[in-house]
Amino acid sequence: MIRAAEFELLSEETLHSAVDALVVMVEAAGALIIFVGALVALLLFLVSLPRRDPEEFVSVRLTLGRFLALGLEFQLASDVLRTAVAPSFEELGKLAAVAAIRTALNFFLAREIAEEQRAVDDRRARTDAGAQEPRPS
Amino acid sequence: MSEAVDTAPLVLALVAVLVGGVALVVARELRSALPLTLELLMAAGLLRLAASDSWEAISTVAAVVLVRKLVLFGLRQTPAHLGDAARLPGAS
Repeated sequence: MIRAAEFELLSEETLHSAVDALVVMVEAAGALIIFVGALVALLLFLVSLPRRDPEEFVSVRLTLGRFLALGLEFQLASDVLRTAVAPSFEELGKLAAVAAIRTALNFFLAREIAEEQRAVDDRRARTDAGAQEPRPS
Repeated sequence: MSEAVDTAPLVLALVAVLVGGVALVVARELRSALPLTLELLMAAGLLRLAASDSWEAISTVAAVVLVRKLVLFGLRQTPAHLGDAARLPGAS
């Protein structure tokens, strides 16, 4: 193939493979964060077992939810990057589905985390107040 | 390396179910134990989605998210203890 002597700053293939590499790295970062979150949640759960307090599970779940939300942000970033190099309509369709799920999940997680945090704070305030006055049994 | 990537979600799903079982034994009520299990199962589904772009992985995650939402909503509507009907979550 004869190429004209053009000045090419960045060939299409180089860009494509660079973005592919970036996509893999960003998606891997997201997956790693999710995995670490699961491990941390498991450890916190095991640590909370001797205390036998079901409300500890809420704070464990809160921590896991925060890790998941962060991992999802990274994965969404990789989805956006992928749109730059998605070659076929089926790939684009999958991308749309995956990005929609991740975005919706992020939205729900953020709301749940806010609610649970408020519930945890309320409960803490109530036990602090209850410690000062006798509770009717 | 890719076997680790493929088995990690399965291991996590198994861990989720085990954690749920232990939590149920400790807490004696589904309301405290189930949300944590569902969250870990969702993490497993998301890991699987990150590893493979198949329609199976996508629909699995969608199903887990949907089931989780429904279960959490249902758990919130029922009182914590059956004798506590006056303390419905909506009122607190």
